[in-house]
Amino acid sequence: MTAVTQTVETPNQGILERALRAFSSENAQRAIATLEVTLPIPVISSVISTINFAQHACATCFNLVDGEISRGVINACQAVADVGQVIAGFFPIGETLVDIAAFGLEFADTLVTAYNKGAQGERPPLSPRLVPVPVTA
Amino acid sequence: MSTPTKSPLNISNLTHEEMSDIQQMVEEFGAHIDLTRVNEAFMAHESSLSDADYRGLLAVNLFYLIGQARRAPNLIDTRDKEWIFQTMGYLGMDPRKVLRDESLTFLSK
Repeated sequence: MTAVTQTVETPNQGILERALRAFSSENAQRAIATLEVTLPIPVISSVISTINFAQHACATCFNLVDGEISRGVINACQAVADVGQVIAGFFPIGETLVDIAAFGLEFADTLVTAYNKGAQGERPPLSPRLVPVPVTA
Repeated sequence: MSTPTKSPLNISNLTHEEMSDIQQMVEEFGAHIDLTRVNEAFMAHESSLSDADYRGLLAVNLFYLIGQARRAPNLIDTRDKEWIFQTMGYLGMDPRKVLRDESLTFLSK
């Protein structure tokens, strides 16, 4: 007799996997692996909510790159970092969230602000890394 | 605050391909800069340069720095990244395209 295995995907698992595809495959694999153990539904829901929130915040921030960055997005990054920190002790995805939020905070708070300064006409100096070399005849 | 390592803009360090890329970029900004005389342009007083030529110099700076960073990503610190992003904004470059360029992943680390 041929054994037939059927994979039943719970709604929560589907949402989580879709959410995780936005992240690096290595981190996604680590996080998906956590689903192989039995988790209390409230905990899974909490993790999924956090990931969805992180995705929303990242997408919002990304779309704002060529516009004004709002403090709200930066606050969202901070919230993701805080939640990620809390769950990092239990799930690998927590570390992922912390990493993403750290990049988001730097990107939003520093790099996007710098980009917007330039886009608004604030002329940058020539790069401080470079110094002119006297021209020899 | 970290002390930047000054790198002379020595175009002899650039490959022919890098030179071509930079020259094309400079021309896209409407600047009239002969890359073989770029150091003279650097030494000119800023007020004597047209806005187009200044933009061209910024483009040379930008791609030179990116070229250096591709070889040694650790050379780039947060202050450099800020300068890169402000310059991209000033030049009207789409940062999303830059961030998706796999050779420029050092910018997002």
